[in-house]
Amino acid sequence: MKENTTRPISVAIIGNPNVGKSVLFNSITGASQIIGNWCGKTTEVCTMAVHYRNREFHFTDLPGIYGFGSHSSEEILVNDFLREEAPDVVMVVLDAMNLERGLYLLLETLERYHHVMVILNKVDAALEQDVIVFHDRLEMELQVPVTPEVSQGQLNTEELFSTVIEVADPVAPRRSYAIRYGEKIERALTALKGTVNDDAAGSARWTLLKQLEAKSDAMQSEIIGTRYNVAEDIAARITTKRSTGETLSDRIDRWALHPVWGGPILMIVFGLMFYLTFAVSRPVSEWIVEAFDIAGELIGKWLVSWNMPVLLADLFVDGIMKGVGAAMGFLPQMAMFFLFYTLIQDSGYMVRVVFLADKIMSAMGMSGKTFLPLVLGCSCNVNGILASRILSSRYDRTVAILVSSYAPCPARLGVMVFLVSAFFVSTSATLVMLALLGISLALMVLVAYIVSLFIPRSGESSFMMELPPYQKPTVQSLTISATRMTLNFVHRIRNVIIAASVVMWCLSKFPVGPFEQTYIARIGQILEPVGSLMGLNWQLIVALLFGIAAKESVLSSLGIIYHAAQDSGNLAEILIHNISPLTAFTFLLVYMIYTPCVTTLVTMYQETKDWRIVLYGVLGSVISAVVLGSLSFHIGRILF
Amino acid sequence: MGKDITLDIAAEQQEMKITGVTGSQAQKTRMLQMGFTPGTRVRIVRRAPMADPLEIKVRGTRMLLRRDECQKIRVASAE
Repeated sequence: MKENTTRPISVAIIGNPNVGKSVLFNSITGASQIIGNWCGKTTEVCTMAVHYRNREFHFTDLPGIYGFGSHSSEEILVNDFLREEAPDVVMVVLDAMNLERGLYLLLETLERYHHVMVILNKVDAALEQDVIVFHDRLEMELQVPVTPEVSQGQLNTEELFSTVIEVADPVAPRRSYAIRYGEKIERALTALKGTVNDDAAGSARWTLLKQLEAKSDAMQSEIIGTRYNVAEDIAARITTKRSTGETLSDRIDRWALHPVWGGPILMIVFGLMFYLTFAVSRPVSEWIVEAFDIAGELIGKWLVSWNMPVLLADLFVDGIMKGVGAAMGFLPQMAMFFLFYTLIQDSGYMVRVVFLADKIMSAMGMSGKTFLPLVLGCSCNVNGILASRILSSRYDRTVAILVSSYAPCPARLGVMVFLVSAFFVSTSATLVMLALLGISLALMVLVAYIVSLFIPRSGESSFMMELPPYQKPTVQSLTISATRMTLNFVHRIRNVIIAASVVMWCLSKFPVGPFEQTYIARIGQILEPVGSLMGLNWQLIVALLFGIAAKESVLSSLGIIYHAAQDSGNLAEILIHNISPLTAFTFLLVYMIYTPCVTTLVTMYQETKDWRIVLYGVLGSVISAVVLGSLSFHIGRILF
Repeated sequence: MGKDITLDIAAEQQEMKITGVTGSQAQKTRMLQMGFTPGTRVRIVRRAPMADPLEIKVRGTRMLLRRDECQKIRVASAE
C-alpha cells in the first residue's frame, strides 16, 4: 500500500430504514454486514476505511432515519455524528420503490448541507412493478449528483468514487437548495436572519427552521407538510405513473395477512422451517459428533504412543474433543436455521409476522417484534438473543434477551422427550410435555412483567413501521449471511466451550477414585439440602450441574452417574428403577428452567455488555426453578 | 368536509384525508416525518387478527400502526 499524503475523505451514509444501505455499504467497501428488511437494525455506527485509486475513504453507515428530528434514538445518533464528525460528503440513499419518503429526507439534507450526493437503490425492483425512475431528471431538478444502482446492490464503483471526490472538493462551487415555504414561515425566517451562521451542524436556514419547528406545532406541521408536498411533486415528475393495480405482494398478502388464515399460514411456515431444519441437519449432526469421537480416539492413541501421560490424553479425548464435538454437532441445525432466518427476514415476511403476532405478544407484555427472538430461541437460545438486536427500546430488548433464554431449545427438548417417554405413556406423556411448555411460557410472561418494574415500558419505543413489498432474496446473499452467522457463532463460543469442557472434565475426574468422591459429586452432595426441597437426590443435582456446560449433557452424565454403560442396561430402565415419576417430573421442570447454558450466558453478556443482566437471568431462573420444583414435589406428594 | 374522527375507527378501504396529528412532541414529529401530514390521503387496508395493529396505505406505501397510534391521527372523509 502506498503512503499518501492527502487527507482521507469521510462519507456519511444516511437513508430511511430498509432502504438497502447495508447491501450498498457491502458493495462499496467490500465489507460485509448482514442485510435485512428490518427497521432500526443497524444499532451501532460502523465505519469502514477503504483504499481506492490511492486515496483513503472512510464510509460510515448510519442508522435509518426519516428526518433530522431529535426524538428517536436513531435521529439523535445521526445528528450527533454529523455534528461531531462533520463528514466531507453526506451520501443519501434513496429507495426507488419508496421515493416520497426518501425524497423528504433528501430535501432536508440538501437544506442542511452543500456536499450531498445521492445513491438510487432498488431501481430494478421498481422496474418490475412498471415504475421507471429517471435519475437524470432528479439530478437536474435538485442539482445534485445521482448514482443509480446498475444491478441489484451493485454500483458503478468508478463513478461512485469519482463523484465522492468531486463532492468532497472544498473549492467546488457550493450549491444551496431552499424550499419556498409559506408567507408566515418565510417572514419568521427573515426576522431571525443573522442570529445563527452556517456551521458543521448545518446551514443557518436549516437551523432556523428547526428552531421554528420546536417553537410552534402549527409551524412544524407546515414546514414538514410543505417539504413533503415538494417531495411528492418531484417524485411525480421523475417517475412514470405508478400503476394502481394489485401487485404480486398485495395478492400474497391477501392470504398471508388474512384475519383468519394469516395465523395458520404463519404456523405452517414456522413449522415447516423447524421440520426442515431438523430433518436435514440431524444426520449431518450425528455424523459430525461421531467424526469427533473417532478423531478423538485416534488422536488419543497417537498421543499416548508419543509418550504423553494417559491423563492428559484423556483430557484431550474425553474432555475437549467430546465437548467440542457436541457443540459442533449443533452447527448444522444452526446453519440451517440461519438460512431460513435470513430467508424469512430478507423476503419481508418477518414484518408480516410482527403484524400477525403483535396483539398476542403485547398482551404478554412484549412487543410484536419479540415474537422473532422467541421463535428463534426455540432453535437455540443463542439465536434468540442474537435476534433481539432488532428491538430498539431498552425494555423490549432486555425482555427479549431474558425471555429467549427460557425458550425450549432442541437440547432441552431432546432430554425432555427422552425422560418423558421413559416415565410416562401416551396421553399422560403428551400432557406432561404440554404442562412443561405451558409453565415455561407463563414464566416468560412473568419475566416481562418483572422487567417492566425496573425499566419503563413506553418511552421512545414506537411501533409504527413500514410494510415493504416482498423481495426475492438472492441465493448469494442467503448463503453469505448464513455462513457468516454460523462462523460468528463458532468464533464467539470456541473458547467458552473448550474452557467449560476442561473444567467439567477436571471436576468429574479428580480426585481419582470412585465417582462419588469426585469434586462434582461433592458439590452435588453439598447442594443436596436444596435438592431435598424438591425431592432431588445429589445424583440428579450433579446431572443438572453438567447441564450448565451444555444442556444436552444431562443425559450422558445421568448415564455416568447411574453407571448405565457398565450395567449394559439402557438408561431409561435404570432411571425408572431409581427415581419415581414425580421426581422425574420435578427434575424435568427444574431442568427446563434452572439456568441457561454457558454459551447462552456468554452471548447474553456480549449482547448487553452488562453483567447484571446475566446475573439477574441466572438468579431469576434458579430461584423460579427451586420454587416451582418445590411446589411440584410437595403438591405432587399430596395428590399422588 | 365531514366531521373529524380518529383513524382507528375509520372503515376499511375508505379514502380519508388527514386533518391533524396529536400526541407527544416525539410522536407527532415521527408521524409527520413518516408522511402523515395534514391533507394527505390515507386508507385502512386491513386490521390484524383482534383488530390491532392496522395496515395503512399512505403516500403509495403501506405502514403498520398500532391502534393507539392511529388514535393520534385525525381524519375526515376524503369525498
